Amino acid sequence: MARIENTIATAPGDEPVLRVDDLHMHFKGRHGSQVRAVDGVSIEVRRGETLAIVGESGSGKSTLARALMRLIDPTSGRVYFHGQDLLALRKGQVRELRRNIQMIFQDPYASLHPLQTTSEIVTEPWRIHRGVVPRADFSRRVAELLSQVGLPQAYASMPPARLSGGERQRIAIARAIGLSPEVLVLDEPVSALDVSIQAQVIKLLMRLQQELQMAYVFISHDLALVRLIADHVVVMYRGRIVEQGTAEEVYSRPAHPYTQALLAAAPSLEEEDEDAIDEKATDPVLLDRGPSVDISVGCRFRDRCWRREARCDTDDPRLVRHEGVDHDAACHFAGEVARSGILNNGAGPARVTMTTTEGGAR
Amino acid sequence: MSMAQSVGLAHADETLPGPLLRVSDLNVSFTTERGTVRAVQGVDFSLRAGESLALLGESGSGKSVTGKTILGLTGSQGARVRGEIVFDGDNLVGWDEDRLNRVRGTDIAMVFQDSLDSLNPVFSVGAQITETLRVRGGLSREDARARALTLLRQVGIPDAEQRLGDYPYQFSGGMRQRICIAIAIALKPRLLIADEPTTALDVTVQAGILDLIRSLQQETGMALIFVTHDLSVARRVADTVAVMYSGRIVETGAIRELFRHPAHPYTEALLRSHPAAARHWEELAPIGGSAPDRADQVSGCRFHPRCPIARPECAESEPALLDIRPGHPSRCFFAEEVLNGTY
Repeated sequence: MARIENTIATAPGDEPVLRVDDLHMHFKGRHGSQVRAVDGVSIEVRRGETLAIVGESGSGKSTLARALMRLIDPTSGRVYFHGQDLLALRKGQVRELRRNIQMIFQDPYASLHPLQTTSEIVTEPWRIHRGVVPRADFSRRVAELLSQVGLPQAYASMPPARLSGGERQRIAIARAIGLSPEVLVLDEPVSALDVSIQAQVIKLLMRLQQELQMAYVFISHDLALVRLIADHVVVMYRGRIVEQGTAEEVYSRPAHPYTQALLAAAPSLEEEDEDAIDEKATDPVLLDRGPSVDISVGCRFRDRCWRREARCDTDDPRLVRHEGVDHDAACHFAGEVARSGILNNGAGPARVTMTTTEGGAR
Repeated sequence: MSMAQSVGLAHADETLPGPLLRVSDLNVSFTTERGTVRAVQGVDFSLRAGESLALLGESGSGKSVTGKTILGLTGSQGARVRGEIVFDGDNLVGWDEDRLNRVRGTDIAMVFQDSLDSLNPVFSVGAQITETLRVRGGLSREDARARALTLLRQVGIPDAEQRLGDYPYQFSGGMRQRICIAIAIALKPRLLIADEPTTALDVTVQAGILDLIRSLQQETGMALIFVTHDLSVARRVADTVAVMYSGRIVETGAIRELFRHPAHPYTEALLRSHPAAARHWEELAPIGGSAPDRADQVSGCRFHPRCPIARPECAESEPALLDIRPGHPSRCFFAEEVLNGTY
């Protein structure tokens, strides 16, 4: 993986907390075919930093998250936590890993036991990971956590059944940070919530990150949301990373047609500026038809791509830094795509002219 | 209704601009183990052919109940409905299932969030569309097939002819929702009610479906009611918006006007809490607390416990929905100040 230079949020020489190296996760599909859900992905995330993994259903982003947690064992590749190879761990050691890497799921209705009280939900991990919190301190620590996530103390004795989605997600967050993890993997943590509640939960998560210096792996399909929180962005498509860079780089100068399409589709409150959106790049039917192309040869995105040429059918583009682009993209025409500066949407570059004023800056 | 009747703007009779749908003083309540829940209270709006209205609100605001009640779908859930729902001159409130069934699908159609999962897995999509056309539209086998093809093309299914024989599992979620939209518009309804039809889908797919609904609505001249919790979605499909809070409409008007100049603190708060309104998470301005699950537990203005500009009188009596500008009413004592930003 090409190192990302100009790292903003971290001190130089700061080692990644979590590093994934060439991870593959293949499943058996129908009729003996092979589904490469994750196909050679490398990422890293540092203390206090947010890495966003962006992509749609089938991109492999959730499979990747599950492999980080060792909820599934990858086909090949390495996952390092502070330099230690997690996939070489024995069962007992996996437990210790799970204390350090916690996960928040999308659906707060499915991820909390409906009959347990909030206090039971939050303390349950401490019964498994003994020694994190001494039993005598359970109720004091629950009270602390509830106040940290902004819930009333009275909730400790209540089951989550009558609580709203946002409140449930706060309980899930309290449970996760109760183990003082170094990494939080967040799989679409607010997409099941009303938009009005999303802002509350996002602000809570980001304040907790500042306070506790956790590393976040934030999985989402919503680029408007990711823009608000990410230090680094990785865009995945059908098991591969197609573009990666700092949030500023990816949002200002998207260099892959797929990233541009995601940006064009991102929620916006702006009035539509028809001239600023290139129709070819955002043809809704093209994007919506779902992948149908053989991924063993050529570019995986070619059947949905407006920039397709003959070589895309045969040459698989590698994730590299193209001339004139300040970050990595897996497209034969990344330089040209980045210069085209197609978008001017709420989530896209603030001004199309940024491409010319900052395009060459490195 | 004759299937041969042409679509297009024929319904939008300019000499008779009466509303296609008029909802007056609609009240919907449910009896639960915890007592009576008044889900919708005193809701009024009207819609002409070719118009699109977004019902915008959080969970529990009454937006979905309003949409479903128009089609008589809340009766089976034990709802008590008062008020008038006048569609094309007929008040649908109190109609029995038989009469409602004659309107459903033919005059008023609906698409839901989970419609895409409601297709029958053991029949081809072609069979499911032609069944509607033959049984309810009275078309012959050949005509139904030809019309099904037209419909699939209209909703953007690539290679429609080859795909008529495919089964639902062979389509992506977005394509399945497009097929449901094809079925919904098959009998040329004059009103389409869409209840969060894109919530379960990826953003790229969502954008495509919203644009599809918008263009179908404009091409066919049908009226559209779009139920959503997301302002950015409402903006993409609707001309007017009714913002609902705790069973009531709190502000309504042209969507551009409302987004630029909100006249209710709740609308303003929704706009400021939207992720697309900020560039960094620290700029997000969340609305504190959450909506009451029992509207009658709050005195005065329903929003006052969460309102940043609430004053003592807001807890005492409830403001009426009054025009603050022509065609732009707001249910707030301080609507003028909110509109002008002078509170």
